[in-house]
This record gives sequence, C-alpha cells and structure tokens, in this order.
Amino acid sequence: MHRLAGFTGLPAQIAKIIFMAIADAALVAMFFASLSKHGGLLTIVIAIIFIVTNIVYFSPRTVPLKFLLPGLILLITFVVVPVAYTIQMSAFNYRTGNEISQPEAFKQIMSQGLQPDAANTSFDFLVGRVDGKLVGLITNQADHTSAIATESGVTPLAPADVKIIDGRVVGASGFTALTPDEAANLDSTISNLKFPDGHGAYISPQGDSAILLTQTYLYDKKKGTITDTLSGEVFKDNGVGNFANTKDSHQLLQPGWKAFNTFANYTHLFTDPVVRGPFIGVFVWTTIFAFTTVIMMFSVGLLLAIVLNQKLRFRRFYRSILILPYAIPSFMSILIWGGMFNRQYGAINGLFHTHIDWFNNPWLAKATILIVNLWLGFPYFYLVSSGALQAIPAELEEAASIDGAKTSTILRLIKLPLLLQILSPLLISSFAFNFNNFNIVYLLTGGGPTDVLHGKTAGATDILITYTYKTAFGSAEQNLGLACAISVIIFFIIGSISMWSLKRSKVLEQI
Amino acid sequence: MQTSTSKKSAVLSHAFIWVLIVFTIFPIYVVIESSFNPTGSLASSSFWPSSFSWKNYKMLFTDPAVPFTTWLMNSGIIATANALFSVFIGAGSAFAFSRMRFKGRKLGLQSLLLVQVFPSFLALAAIYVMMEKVYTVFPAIGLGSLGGLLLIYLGGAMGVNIWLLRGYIDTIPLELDEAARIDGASTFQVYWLIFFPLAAPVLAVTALLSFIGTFNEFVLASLFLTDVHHRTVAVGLQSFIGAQFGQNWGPFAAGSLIAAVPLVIIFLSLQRFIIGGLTAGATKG
Amino acid sequence: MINKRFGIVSAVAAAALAVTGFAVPAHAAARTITVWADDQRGPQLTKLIDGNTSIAPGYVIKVKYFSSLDALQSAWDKSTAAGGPDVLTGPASFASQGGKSGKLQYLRLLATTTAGIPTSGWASMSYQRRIYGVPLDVDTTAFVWNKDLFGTSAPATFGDMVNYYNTNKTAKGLKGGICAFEGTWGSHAVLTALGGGAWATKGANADYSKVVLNSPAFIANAKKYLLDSSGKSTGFFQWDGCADAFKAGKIPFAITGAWNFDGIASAKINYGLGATPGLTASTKGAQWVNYSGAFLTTYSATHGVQGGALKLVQGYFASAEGQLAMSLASKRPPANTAAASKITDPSTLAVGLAAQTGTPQVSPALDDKAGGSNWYDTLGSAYTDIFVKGKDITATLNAAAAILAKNFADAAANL
Repeated sequence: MHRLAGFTGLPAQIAKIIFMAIADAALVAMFFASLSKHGGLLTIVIAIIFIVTNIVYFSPRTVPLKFLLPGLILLITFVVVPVAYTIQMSAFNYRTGNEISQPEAFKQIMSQGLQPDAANTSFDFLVGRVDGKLVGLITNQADHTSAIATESGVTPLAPADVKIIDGRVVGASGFTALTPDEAANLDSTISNLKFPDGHGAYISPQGDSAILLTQTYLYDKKKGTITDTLSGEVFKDNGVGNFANTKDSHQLLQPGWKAFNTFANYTHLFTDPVVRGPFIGVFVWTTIFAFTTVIMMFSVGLLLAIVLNQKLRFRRFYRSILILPYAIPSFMSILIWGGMFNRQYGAINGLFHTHIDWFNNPWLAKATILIVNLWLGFPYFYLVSSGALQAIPAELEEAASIDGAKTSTILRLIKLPLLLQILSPLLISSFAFNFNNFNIVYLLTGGGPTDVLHGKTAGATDILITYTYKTAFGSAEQNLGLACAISVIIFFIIGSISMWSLKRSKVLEQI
Repeated sequence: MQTSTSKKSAVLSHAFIWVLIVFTIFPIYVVIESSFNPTGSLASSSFWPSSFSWKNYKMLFTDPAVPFTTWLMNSGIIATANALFSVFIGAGSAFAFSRMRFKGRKLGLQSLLLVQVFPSFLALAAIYVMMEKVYTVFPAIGLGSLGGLLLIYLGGAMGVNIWLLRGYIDTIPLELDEAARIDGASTFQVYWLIFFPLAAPVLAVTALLSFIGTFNEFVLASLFLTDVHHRTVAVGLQSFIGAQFGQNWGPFAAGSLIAAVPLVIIFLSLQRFIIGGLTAGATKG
Repeated sequence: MINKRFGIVSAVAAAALAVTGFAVPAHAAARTITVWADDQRGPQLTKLIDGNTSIAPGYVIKVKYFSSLDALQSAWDKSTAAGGPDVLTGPASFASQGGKSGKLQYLRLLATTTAGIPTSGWASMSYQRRIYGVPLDVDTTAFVWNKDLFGTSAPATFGDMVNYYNTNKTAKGLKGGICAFEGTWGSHAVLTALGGGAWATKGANADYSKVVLNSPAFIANAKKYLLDSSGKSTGFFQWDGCADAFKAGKIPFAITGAWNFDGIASAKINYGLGATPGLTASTKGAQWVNYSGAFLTTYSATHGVQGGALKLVQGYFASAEGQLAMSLASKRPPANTAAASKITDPSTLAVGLAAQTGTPQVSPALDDKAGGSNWYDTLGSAYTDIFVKGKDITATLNAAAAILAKNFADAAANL
C-alpha cells in the first residue's frame, strides 16, 4: 500500500487548501461584485454556496456531501430552480401582453397617456445649470424662440442673450451647459425632468430635443380606475392582469401584467375546446410516435446485431459504416434529410423523378419523421443489442443445441427473452426520450403540415413538446403560462412512466 | 440441407445489410456532393455530381464574416470542458450514491431520476432570465459567454451522468473497497486509487458521449451565444440555411463534413469501449 | 485539532481576499447603449456604429447580433431589463408586439423627424395609435426576369408570361413560370396582379372589414392563368420558393428582394428588374412593402441610457445621413425621403420604385390569429391545397377567407 501512503498527509492537505482557496476567492469575488450591483437574491445564493462549501469541505463529518456537493449545486441551480420556476409560472396569466410586473405595467400605461399637442410642438434641448439647478435651454423648432425651462416654469430669453452656432442654440447668458459626460451620467435624472409650461402641459426632454406633452390619463387611486380624458372611457383592473374598459371588457389598456390565476391554465387545457382539441390529438400522436419509432429502431438494430453476430465476410467494414449515423451530429443529419425530402429540389424526388410532396401530406410527413428517426436511431440499438447478445452466456446456447434445438429456436426461445429483459430499461428510456424528441420534429417538419383551413392549430406531426414550444414561443401571440402548464403535465406523464418502469425492474429496491 | 439453409440465410443477411448500407450512406453521399457543388443548392437530380469546386471549403476558411475556425474551436473547447467536468463531478456524486450510506440517499436518487425526465428544454425561459441576471454581475459566466453556456450544459448533464455512472459503479465488486479500507485507506483514497482507475473506461465513454452531445446542441447555443466569435459550429452553420431569405447549402454541407469527420474517427476507433459503456447502464438498470 | 482547522480556514480566507483584490475592480463605468440586430443587419451595423462615441456623446454604442431573425426574436421575447437591449432593430412586427408587451417605449417624435419619413412608414410602426419605432428601410420585393430566356424587354402583361411558359415549357425544360423566392410573402405580387389580395381598400385607407382573397375576379383569373381545365396547377406558379431553379435558368420569372440580387448575378443569370406585370399593360401586381425599424426599449430607462439611446434613434437611425449609410451597406431603399433622393445604386432604385406600387404590410393584421391561424400559414395552406393537391379553388379560398375575416376584424380593433 505504498501508493496509498503517498496520497495522505501534507501533500493532499496542501492540494485541498489550494483548491479551496481558489474556489473561495472566486465566490468572494462574485459576492462583492454582486453586492455592488445590488444583486439581491443572487448575493444571498452566493453567500449560501460559500458557507455550505466551506462547512462541507472543512468538517470531518460530511464525507458523502464532499462527493456530492459540486454535482448538487449544478443540479439545483440549473435544473431544479428552472423547473420550480416553470411550475410557478404555470399558475400565472403570462402571455404576450402580460409579461411585466404590475408596477412596471402601470408606469408604461401612464407614460402612454402622455400625448403631444396637436401641433407637435418640438424644441431643441440643451441641459445645463442655472444657479446650480438643473434646467433646460429650449428653442422652439417652429418659431426659433428660446427659453430657459425650470421646474417652476418657462422664462423666455431675448434673442440677444442666446448664443447660436451653425443655426443651433448652444448657450445663453447665466446658463452653463453640461458636458456630454456629465449629461450621460445624469441620464435617468434628465430623462425624467418635467418642466411645466404654465398651461397644464409640460416640456419633456427626448435626447437632443424636447417635446410638449399633456397627461391624458387620469388615475383615481381610491377607485383604482384610469380615465382617458380624451375619450371619457374608464378602465378598471379586471383581476387577470389588465385594465379593462368598464363598458366593454374586451377593450384593454396595453401592456398588461403577469397576474396570478392559480389553476386557470390547467383547467383551460381541459375545458377550452380551442386548446383541448389539439392537445388530445397531439398527445395521441406523441404516444404513437414514441412507441412506433422505438419499435422500429429496436427491430432493425436487433436484426442487424443478430446478422452481424454471425461469421460474415467484411463484418468489421459493414459495422463501421452502419454505425456512422450515430457518430454524425444529429442536428446536421436532420437538416440534411429535411433538404432531401423537399418537394421541389430534394434529392429523393430528384433521383427517382417523382414529385411527392412529403411534407404537405400528414401521413407522408409522419412517415418521413419515422424514416429519419430510424436512420438516426438504429445504430444505437444495434450497438446495445450486440453488446447484450455477447453478454448472454455461451453455455446456454451450447446446452440448448446439445438438446437438439435449431439456431432459430434458440434465438426465439432463449436469447430474445433474455435480451428483452436486459434491454427493457433502455427501451423505456428511449421511449421517454422520443416522447420529448424536439429536434427531429422541429427541424424536419416543424410540426407540419397544419390543416389550418379546417381549423387545426396543431400540425399533423406536432408532438407535445413542439406543440408546447409553439404555444410558448412560436409566433406573435405567445402564451408562456399555458406552455408551462403543459410542461408540468408532460413531466408527470414521463415521470410516472419512468417510476413505473423502475418499480417493475426493481431497481429502486436495490438502491 | 444444412448448407443450403445457411447459404440462403447468408444471402438474406447480405441483402439486409446492403439495403441498410444504402440507406445509411445516401444522405452522407448527398452532403459530400453538395459540399463540392458551387451553386449552393442541395439539388441532386442525377446520381453523379454535375459540377465540382472547392468554393464552399475556401469560403469557410477565407471569408472574414465567417470565422469558421473560431466556431470549430469554440465547439471543441466547450464540448471538451463539458465532457471532462461533467464526468469528473458526476463520478464523485455517483460514487457517493453507490458506495456510501447516508440519510436521504434513496430519496435523493429518486428525485434525481424524476428531475432528469423533466423536459428541461421547456424551462428555457427560466434559464434565460437567470443567466441575464448573472450577466449583469459577472459577464464572464452570464448570457452570451461560453462559460455561462458550459454551466448550463453541466447542470443539464448531471442527472443523466450520475444515474448512468452509478449503475456502472454498482457492478464493481465491493471486496476491492473493503480490502483497501482494511489497509487503512480513507474514503478519498478508495475513490482516487481503487475506483477511479477501475472506472476509467466507462468514464471515458461517458465523456465521449457528452462530447458528442454538446457538439450537437443547437437550441440553447443559438439563444445564448450572440457574438459571432462566440458561436459554436452548430449555430454558425445553421445560419447558412436558417437565414430569413434563401438557403445556402454548400457551406453548410462543407462545414458539417469538416466538423463531423473528427467525431466519426474518434467514434470508430473507440467503438469497442462505447458498446461496453452503453450496455453498462442497461445491465444494472 | 481545532487550531489546525482554524489555521486552514484563515489561510483560505486570506488567499480568497487577496485574489478578490485583483478581481473586483474590473468593471468600467462607461455608459453603453446596446443595439440588437439579426444576422442580416448586424454585420452592417457593426461596421457603421459599433464602438461609436460621437452619435451620442458621453455614451458608447455596442452592436450585438444574432445568428438569425428567429434567434433575435427568441432572445427578445425572453429578455428582461437585466440583459435586454436599449435599441432593437428589426421588422415592423416588433412594434405591435413590443407595444402590447410593454417592452418598447412609445416614441414622442419631433415634428422634423416625423416629416422626414412617409406616413406609411410611421403607420407600420404604430400600435394602438402610438408610434413605437423609427422606420429604417423598406423590405420589399421586385419582379425579376431572365433576359436570356424571355428577352431584354420585360413582359407587358401576365398573359405574356403565361404564353411564354406554355410555348417553351418542354423545349427549354422549364420547371415553372413564375416563382416567389420568399414563399407566400413574396407571392403577394402574383396574387394582386390577378385581382386578389388581403383586405379591400377604401380610397387611400385599408378596409379590414372586407377580405378580397376569395374575390370572384381572382378566382376567375387564377382559373384562366394558373390552372388547367381540370382545376390542376399548370406548373406556372411556384409559390413556395424555387431559388435554385431560377438560378439554374429553368424558370424565366421570379419575385425576390435586394438580398438575392448578388446571388442571381453570381449564378451568371442575365436579369432585368421591374414591377410584376398585371392583367393589362397598365396594371401591376402589388407586393408587400414592409418597413424595418429601430425601436427604443423600456429597458433603456432602467439602464439609465434612455437619453443617449434617443439620440441614437432620432439623430442617427431616423436621419438622412444615417439611413443613407445603412442603405449603401444593405442595398435596401431607405425610409427617409431625403436619403432616398441620394440613392444611385440601380437595383436599390428599382426596388424603391417597385415599393411605391406596393401594399403596406400591416403586421398586426397579418400576424393576428384570432381565426386560428395567421395570414401566411392560412394562405400557404390554401396554395398547397390548390396548386399541389388540386383541390377546388373556390371552396379552399372561401375557407381561408373565413379565417382571415376573423383575424382582420380582431386586429383592426387595435390598430
């Protein structure tokens, strides 16, 4: 045990200290950086990681955690937290138009109430100081009169008091312009300046210029209503994230905000016919697809394993060619296949001089998905089947053949059942993988064809995850809350299948 | 009688193999042909290439707007880093789950299994928002950085890797650990000196599969990496055919070939180990 | 034992603090205005304004661009104030989305800025009667014909093109008559040339209450020019893209935009540019005219650079100098009229000219899917049914029109 001896004592301790010093240094640096940027939750998280790491690695009693901690931190931060966030989001009205917080939305709405006057009175604007106070030197772009605008009002300037270079007012007596850097550093303050014009409107800086604005929305804090003073319409919080017209509940003030709606997204899925119809159809095809594709890949892979398990000439050559699809990045293969199936310029129609419209016929589109996925997946099943075949003890076969059984019988009655037993966990995990196989569907058919003329919103090849993706991020109208709800449902489906298969294979009892 | 059946089955076997070979090679042939096609189309109206040119390959290495070598390097760096770290960190956790008995172990394994079946892809929005926050504080590991993307990959790979490796570690006989412990070895020494060398082949395979997986990843990478010099091969190449208007298959095909060849070589030379690695997970569940 | 442990902890802490000393003061205090773009505009903007400190003195401009428009859209959808842009550039459809989501800041524009760009440009940037962006340039298509096939002068009428196709189809091995490189979007000129379209017009304004996709005139003309006696496609109209065939000289007429002219030229096609021929020599097909815009985000206020970002948007993106520079790089006609008057590039001019006969692409109406599906998907589906599957044109277009009627009605409420 000399090798062991070399690894104890001082060298190991020093290595550990150096490693921890680096980790701590990084964490401390991050802590301060985050603190200086008002990191909030992030700062707390870093502090917790720092404390936990140090306790775990300097305490003698936490041996398992010493092994687990790095993996655990990664897993929690990048998998568990996002999952939790997704579940939380599924309880919100979170969609295009309802994406920001309520205070932020309120601010935006009020800002939209600020309307320019009919003449769109515009000014050249120069920010500076008079007696130390921040003021604006404004020059009307229409009549070229200048004035000093302060928070108490507008004081006109005589043309003689104004300094003009190249037709633009650059200064006035008693007025010190801010340098660009000073102005840039005060950006937020300057952008929020409001100089009353004395007639109910005020002058608001817009970069190099300023404009005359009037607030046309009136907020009544007591009643919680916003009144549009131009049209006289009254808007009230409708409880699901928008100010709605009290007379016409469909007329909303945009933007809305993310509003809590408990289980509305879930009930929506099962009660709203517009959502429910495609959801059920897609679910059925997802199951059929995952099942069929696994069976196809497995049968071809297994058959190939049996064939190549014999003593054949060029066996190694065949084998090297046939596992190529597994080694080529699948993302590229799928895109290439997509190009090859194209109706007009695709290699498949080109070679056979046909004009088959693969992607516009629901059945052909489904077939292309299965074909391409077979291409991608059979080598994997070939590899695992062939490994499993070799793992079956030779004695079994010998015993059977001594008893006079034919090769095919041995295969059917002895090898196959054993093989299925060995490979069933892989088959199930492959089913779970294909159930969520986003790439194949999204990159090949995009979920299409969609028979939109007959009211379909989901494509013929859409599986749950691509349908969810479309719902969440697909087009101009997105519904993230609903998509999160579907994700949670997928999670339960796949989770149950996995747990069931584990229970069945008794893995959980062994661990 | 015996010979005629075996002859018949040999013919059938060969027929089956050749059908599969044609099926396998067809798209590969089309890619090769397109990569030499100067018109940038994926057309193949005849079986033999109509024109031949190195234009697409030249473009990848000379056009300043297409930093293809940088893309290759980015993919190589991020895939290698992910392969090494994810296996190294994953192996530690897997070792703990396999060899140690502690409170919450069973629950931990069960939750691990559940967590890894969540379509994490759909938690994309959450991850994006998180990395945006991180970006404002530490740009080096936030949105748009290869470092940040690596962290996300690592987090995503943990579940599967721990689960797979634990399955393999369970097959290493306990007697070896016990013998070492009797000799006075600490848990760390058992891990480093007994377990690590024994598990080396399966670790290598897991690393290789992680490498290929990362090389392949597109959705996250296209969303997170904005700077043209930070793109991975997959994202960079996709921009040739995913453009708003018009597709240019030529450089895509050429680039795909260049990127895929090293992978294929590694894969073919290590295929023996890979089969072992793939089935290790199966035999023990 | 405790002492030893304490020693280790303090050593680690000391080392940590030492490293921190080097690591923390890395942040510069520069005020950065971040501009987002897609893969088309991004490289051009990078050359023009990345690192610029003179457009908005006191700020530095940084351009970030994505690998595709999809990636840009996807990142923008998910963005928050933490990492979002201060200025966004892209198609006009961003205006309605951003106005609804509250991520874009409604612009209070100067009288001079407003005057420099045509009203149709501003209309494309508005949502609920508020303007959310500055129109940058015009995204539209022109009609292109192969001079070696058809001859040096443009076809006068739609019928001329159809006749040419029917006569030469077999002799020249044509793969189609007219094709839209950009699919349903680009094919709008053919639709309108034959009397179809999206919505009706009342004077100079759009009338969203009336869908004209299934107008009897269009159905009659489509039957006459595009379908054979049994209602199947004659192969003349290739609506779903055929760039390769046109570049191979196997299709005489096409509709596409400036971004493809270089590719056509490098495929050694001798081409002419113009407007899509109509039923008579004096009528022309109208293509979609879309504006791209520069948008000010509400994040810019959170980042404390709104004033600077406004200078960039109004002082550069909306200005004649800025638009001229961008047009020279992109070959797209500028929106600013003063900049447009200085354009000399013939293909940019031709597209600009074609744009004048086009129809404003009102994104909120075309993207709306109150009827179940947006304009593009609905029309694509209808085209597939008619020209690929050979289904009855009247029934198909009626079904499509029913969907569009709902979309337009829904969108009109918010325009």
